[in-house]
Amino acid sequence: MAAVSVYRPWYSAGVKEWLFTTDHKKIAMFYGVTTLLFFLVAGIMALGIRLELWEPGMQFMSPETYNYLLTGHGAVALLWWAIGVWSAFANFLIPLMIGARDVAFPRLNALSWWTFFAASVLVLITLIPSNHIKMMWTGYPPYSLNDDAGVTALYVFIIHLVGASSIMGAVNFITTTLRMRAPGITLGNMNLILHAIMAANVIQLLGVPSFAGAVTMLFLDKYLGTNFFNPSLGGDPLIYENVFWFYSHPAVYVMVIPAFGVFSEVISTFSRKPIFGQLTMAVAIWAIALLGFMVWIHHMFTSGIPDWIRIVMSYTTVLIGVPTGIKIFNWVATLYKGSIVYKTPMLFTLGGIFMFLVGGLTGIPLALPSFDINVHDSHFVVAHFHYVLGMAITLGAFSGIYYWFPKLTGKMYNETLGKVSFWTIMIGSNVFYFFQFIVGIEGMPRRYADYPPIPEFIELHHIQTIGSFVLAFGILLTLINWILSVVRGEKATSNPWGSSSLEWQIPSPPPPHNFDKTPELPSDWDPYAYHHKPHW
Amino acid sequence: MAQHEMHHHLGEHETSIWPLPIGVGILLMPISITSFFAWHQQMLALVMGGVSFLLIIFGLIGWTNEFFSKGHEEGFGGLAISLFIATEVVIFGTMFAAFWTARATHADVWGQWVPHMNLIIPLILTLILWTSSFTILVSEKSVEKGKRAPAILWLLTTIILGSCFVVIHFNEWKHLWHSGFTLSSNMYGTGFYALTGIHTSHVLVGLISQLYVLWLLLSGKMTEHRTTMYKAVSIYWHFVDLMWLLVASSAYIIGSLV
Amino acid sequence: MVEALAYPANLWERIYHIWLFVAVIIYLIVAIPMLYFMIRYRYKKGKNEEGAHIEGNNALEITWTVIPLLIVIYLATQSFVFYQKQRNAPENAMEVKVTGFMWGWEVDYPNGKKVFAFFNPEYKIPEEQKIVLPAGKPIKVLLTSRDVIHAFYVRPAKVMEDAVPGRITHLWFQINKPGEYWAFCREYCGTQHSRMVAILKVVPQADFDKWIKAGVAQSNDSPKLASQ
Ligand code: HEA
Ligand code: HEA
Ligand code: CUA
Ligand SMILES: [Cu+2]
Repeated sequence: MAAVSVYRPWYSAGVKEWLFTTDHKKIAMFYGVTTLLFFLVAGIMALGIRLELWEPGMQFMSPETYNYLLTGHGAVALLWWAIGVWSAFANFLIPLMIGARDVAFPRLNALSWWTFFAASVLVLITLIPSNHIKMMWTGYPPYSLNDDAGVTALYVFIIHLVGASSIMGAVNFITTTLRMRAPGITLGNMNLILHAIMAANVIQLLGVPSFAGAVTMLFLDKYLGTNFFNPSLGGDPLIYENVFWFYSHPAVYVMVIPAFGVFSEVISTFSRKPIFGQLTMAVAIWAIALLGFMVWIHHMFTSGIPDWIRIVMSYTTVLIGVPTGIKIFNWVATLYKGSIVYKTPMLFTLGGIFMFLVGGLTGIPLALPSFDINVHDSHFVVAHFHYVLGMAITLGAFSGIYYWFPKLTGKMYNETLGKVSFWTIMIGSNVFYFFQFIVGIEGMPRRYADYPPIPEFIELHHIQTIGSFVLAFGILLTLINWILSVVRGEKATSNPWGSSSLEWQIPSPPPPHNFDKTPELPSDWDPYAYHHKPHW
Repeated sequence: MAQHEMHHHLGEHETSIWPLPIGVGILLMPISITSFFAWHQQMLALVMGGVSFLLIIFGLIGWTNEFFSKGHEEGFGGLAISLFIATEVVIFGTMFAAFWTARATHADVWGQWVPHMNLIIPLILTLILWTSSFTILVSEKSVEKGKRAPAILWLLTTIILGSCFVVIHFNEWKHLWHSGFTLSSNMYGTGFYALTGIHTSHVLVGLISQLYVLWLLLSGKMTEHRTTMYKAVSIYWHFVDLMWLLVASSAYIIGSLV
Repeated sequence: MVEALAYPANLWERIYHIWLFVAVIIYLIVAIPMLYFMIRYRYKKGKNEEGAHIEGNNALEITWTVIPLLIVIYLATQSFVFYQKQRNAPENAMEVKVTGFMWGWEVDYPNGKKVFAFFNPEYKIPEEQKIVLPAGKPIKVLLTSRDVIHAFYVRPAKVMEDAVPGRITHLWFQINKPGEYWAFCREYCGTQHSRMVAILKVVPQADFDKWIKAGVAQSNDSPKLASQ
């Protein structure tokens, strides 16, 4: 009785169907829930860090514990939250937005998820004190080969597994977007977030193996006695730094470009206007992705690399400000003469753009060696990337989750709670991260479990820690909001935002097979056209 | 096609039992290696390793059976494998980066690191691989034309050539290793074994996939209508053979000529 | 004009103010219109229910491509100019060798005198572990490391450079006012990274000359012994 089963929501399925699923929506759910849980882990680790930094001396933990928490916080926040969460979006959105039944390789997709799951288990293993890893997420040798750094092998394999998972995902998503678009959807008129996700995955495809190679060398040096990083026999620790950053700089765009995608979708929907300069926006995305591979030395301005390389890469680095700027200005221009409605996703998006602006503008001086020479490895850098990661991306991801929440669950989230949460997060994090800049300029080194009793350090750390708990509370509110809404939110219509994008043209939640038949779209189809007016 | 597919799956929850066991295998493998090297639990390592190996093998077999019984040809294989090869190129790239940096920055001492090498062997190895690149091409074409017997024969030759490559290479390593040129002697040793080792591991993967295709041909599962998998396998093999050029010229020529 | 507390900190101050100025301007250029649009064009029942259909505007987009381009190129070039001064020590600089180890610093003075500055959980640095330096004299530090990567950060002079095993890196600075200043290890190096600090005791040239001649104080005590 197909006709009946058509409108079974995608999540109505037994345990067996979940465990063995190859359905992109269920896999998206797996990713989403896991990444959120690990975000909590990273966040709670961070709060431990904040408490310890409250004042000089070790109050709550040993330096070893601090270093473990920081390693865990960095690695999990980046790989599980800032990168992982977009796998959830990619899985859920790509097929729905291009009118496909599923991704190109559903089984590979499932395998990619289970590999990610395996990596997550390895992370949990490091929670056991005897298995702590303390080489920081950057894992620079020779330190990471030193027993003081903990179980190198676990670090290596965590990277290998998330890497493998990302690569499977990338192959899948790129193939899907290129080959499975419904007739009428072109690379020119498809949703910008699809460009964003594809660009991010191209970076993953070409970057991750570089990180994998670097940690493989770590493994060989530590356990099989090779000399990659052993200066006395021709090796060089800086090889690691180069190979590592060749991936890990582009990686930051893997994290932020999909957030740009969300900003574009949301800002267009809630100002009832097409994206200003849609084509330029797509081009800018790809320009950022490309430039991203030519700037990695800016993480090594004080590493002993020859000065002329530092200068060259300082130029290439600041250039990235230009395509990024185009995106910012075009978003602002999109607001012009709009009819702007302030639903929760829109608040998170606008907030995210503001915060990205601060994070970006403070990235520029870091790209200037004459500035970086004072703040490298200080809390100024930490503040810079928390504005972009902790805020722009986190707000972007939250915005996206709020925005597609009705489609995903078929329920409506709670508007007021969402808005309260937003303002709490904004206040908390700005108090926190802004003073992190100041303490950085004062010279506070990062990765310091303890610090000398310098008065200005102490005051500034007090303020930050308070801010961070306000922030945490704000995030807590959003989590509560989602849980309550799933349990007893009011039912959502199929297209609450009155969008023309494909995913909103099918019931909420989508049926297991997405579309009854492949949509056939006119050549002038535009996901950013707003005919049917929702009654706000 | 896509349309047909959607009606076909109307309202069903798509499942496949194979990714999960492979995933578990993928989890146990690193745990096994870690327990061997870091936790020094040889027994545990052995068990975990064995289980993981079995899970992965059975998983893969079941997976592809399912693909050939239930699944249907989308023809995305070519693009997918090319994307994957892009990744592989970068992996090799990292090793080249390490090797070349050392070669350039330690040109002065490098000479003392070079053992006696006989450059005939890499030459032979090159010839072997290149012929095999040709034979697999012929085999693939015959499959597409539906000629089963020649396809099987040419594929067999490819596999034999590949195996010869591996065997000869192993002896070469044994010889050098015993002459005192090891992974840890110096950066040349490290770079040499790293590059050639990683390459050989790719040759092995290639061979396994070819054996698998051979079985598909013999069991008649693979017909001229379903050759995407073969296309993927042979593209991969060509990549491995090309990569050998770079590997050999770095590891042997650039490395040993001072 | 009054002499800066330390060189090349003065250059950092300048690039800092240049950037701050540019950044604030750009922030306002983005934030003010954004806030204005957000208020002016908000949804109003009956009055403003549909957004205008505007696809884009090339002239505008070119403007906000070209202008930022010029700005960033200026910034990078300005930094380049300063950086050369920040990196290259004056001829008359005194050369000091600094070697990092887990966890502390070994300082070798031109005349062979050594000072060991060991990590210190209380940040109370004993007198003999302070790195004594002459005021008003440029000092060129040659850095390396015995084990893992460390980094030598001279807080008052606002410069740092990594100490990498198998390499000799360099930085220079000059502190003009006698006094005690912090130097930190600024590259993560393990459990005691945060305690791997040193105190630079800057004294008038005369006192420094006395100090450096006064016996090769503790050059013969090894890191092992003292770190316990
Ligand atoms: C996406 C990336 C991301 C995100 C979101 C964050 C979020 C946060 N980070 Fe970040 N951080 C990094 C990435 C990130 N960080 C990286 C890469 C580093 C460098 C690591 C290294 O040096 O190697 C770093 C380093 C770093 C440091 C520097 C430490 C040092 O160098 O010595 C600090 C210190 O303040 C910090 C704090 C925080 C805090 C308080 C948050 C908060 O935003 C977290 C808020 C979230 C939660 C709190 C969890 C959810 C809330 C609840 C579960 C509520 C219930 C809990 C309570 C109220 C108790 N982080
Ligand atoms: C999502 C993450 C993300 C993003 C998007 C960025 C974006 C940028 N980052 Fe950041 N960065 C990190 C995450 C990120 N970074 C992390 C995690 C680290 C630390 C890693 C570690 O050590 O642990 C780091 C560290 C880091 C460093 C190394 C600092 C050091 O260790 O000493 C540098 C140096 O150049 C840098 C620069 C930049 C620049 C130039 C951008 C640019 O892309 C910003 C471009 C945007 C703008 C400029 C604003 C908008 C533009 C306009 C409004 C146009 C007009 C503007 C101008 C004319 C200037 N970053
Ligand atoms: Cu030495 Cu940090
Ligand atoms: Cu970067």
